Amino acid sequence: MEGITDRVLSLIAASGQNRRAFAQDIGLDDSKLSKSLNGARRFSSLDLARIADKYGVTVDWLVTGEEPALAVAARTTSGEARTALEAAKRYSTMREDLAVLGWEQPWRPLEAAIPGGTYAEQGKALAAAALARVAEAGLSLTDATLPALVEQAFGADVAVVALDEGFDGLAASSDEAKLIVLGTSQVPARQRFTLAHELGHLLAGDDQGVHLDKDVYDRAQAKDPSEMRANGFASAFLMPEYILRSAAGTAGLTEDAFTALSCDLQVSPSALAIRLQQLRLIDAGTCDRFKKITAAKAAALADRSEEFARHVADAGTPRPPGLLVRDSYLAYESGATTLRPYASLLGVDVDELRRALEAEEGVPGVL
Amino acid sequence: MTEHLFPDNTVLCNFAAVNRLDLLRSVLGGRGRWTEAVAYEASRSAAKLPPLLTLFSDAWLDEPVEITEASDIRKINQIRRVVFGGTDDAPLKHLGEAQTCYVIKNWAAFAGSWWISDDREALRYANFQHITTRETIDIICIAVADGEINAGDAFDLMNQMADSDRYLRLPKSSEELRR
Repeated sequence: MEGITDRVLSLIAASGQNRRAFAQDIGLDDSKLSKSLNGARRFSSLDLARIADKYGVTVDWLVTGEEPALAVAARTTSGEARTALEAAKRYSTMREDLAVLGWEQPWRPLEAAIPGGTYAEQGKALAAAALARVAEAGLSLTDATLPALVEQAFGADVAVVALDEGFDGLAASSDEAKLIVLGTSQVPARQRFTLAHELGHLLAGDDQGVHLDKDVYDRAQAKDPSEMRANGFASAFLMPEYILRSAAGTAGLTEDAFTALSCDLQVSPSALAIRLQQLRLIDAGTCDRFKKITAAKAAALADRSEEFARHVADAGTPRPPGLLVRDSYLAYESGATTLRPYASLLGVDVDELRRALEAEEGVPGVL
Repeated sequence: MTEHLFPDNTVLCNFAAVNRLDLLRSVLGGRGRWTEAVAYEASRSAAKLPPLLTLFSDAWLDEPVEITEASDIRKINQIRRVVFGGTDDAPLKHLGEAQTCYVIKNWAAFAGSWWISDDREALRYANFQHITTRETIDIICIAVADGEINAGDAFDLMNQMADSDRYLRLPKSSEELRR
């Protein structure tokens, strides 16, 4: 098995430099480097940090030779996906470190095994179990914001990071961390679908490592079995059959009832129309007619434009992972860490945050 | 067992900024130590504060403490991230703090040592970890008590440090330095 010395030698070879130049780069004199490479001296914590800093590797890799799947993915990916992966890597590492201090990911997978049947049917069965969990937790899809609901009912962290259009989201899974990262969006229903889709991947245990979804609506991708299952899950989870049947009643859905339902469930009218037709609650002609309604139009018809405007604004707003925020604060409060990791998650200056937390007096005249 | 005193780079810089590292040396009385990362940080800070270079030539903080056990290195890296907010992308950031805390807490040779810092976060964390801490103001008080400097001059000296863009807790008056 390769050791630290072998990995340092591989970096020297890859750098194309001689040992003297490499030693200068990392602030070691020639003889110290030679002794370290010959086994007469061991590389120190500072040596390895300087090598990691200069050559873009991690200290953990230099020591163990192992690199987490997320780190590999972030290093080898470009564009918007890389930004999302960098965020996922940071959050996952933070959770893994916090777990060592006693703040483990409160992940609550579904107890039931994935049943047989088609992949879409498996997704629906998973959704039924997930909806039972949501009800058990006293939550409702129409009340709570979906990221908070997923965190509370399933114990996975959900983050929204600022990305340009072109990347929907990812699910990252390791023994210590379960995380969903979504891109900011101007289309709240799409972001909501992506979140449910990624939750489907996590609950199905699809990937140890990272699962990227650049475009959750991509037709080619949708033929992949795990994608079919995640899509089936998202559809059945966000548009529960019992709610749709109840709304349709015996008389069927009017356009008014349809637009109100799409606003209640915060799904796109086209997705809702397709789901209603699949459940045979509307016919093909009605489905075609309903599919042509945009989300904005549905909100206007249902007299819920204010609510829609808020959802659009929310979907475009970054959100740090809620459980990690909670646990990093608790770790600080207990004295197990400084305030810096919590401040970093919130993206605020640590000194300003400390002053705010320590401020004892309110604004004069305000109770 | 001799208890050692580990000033962090902020403290070294405070005294270097007013060219009075001799005062710190006197208070530490041969018990001062530093880790390799703190020594590295001081070498970087010497570009702006040249008196720090004397720490290397005079060697009164002894040879920097090196950490070479793989398990220690990994734990220090983890503490650097989770406790002090460092990241893998900037592996040197907060390394001095992490190394110092770690050796004081985990190495028998340094058990009971003091950590001298002016960083509020580091001090709070160290107190929770039952590590004895001191700040620059405490070092100055000891220097006054030992007769190394009178309280009035010490008060002026600390204000000179602050005027040199150093961040440290200041006394309200020279009286406060006579503890």
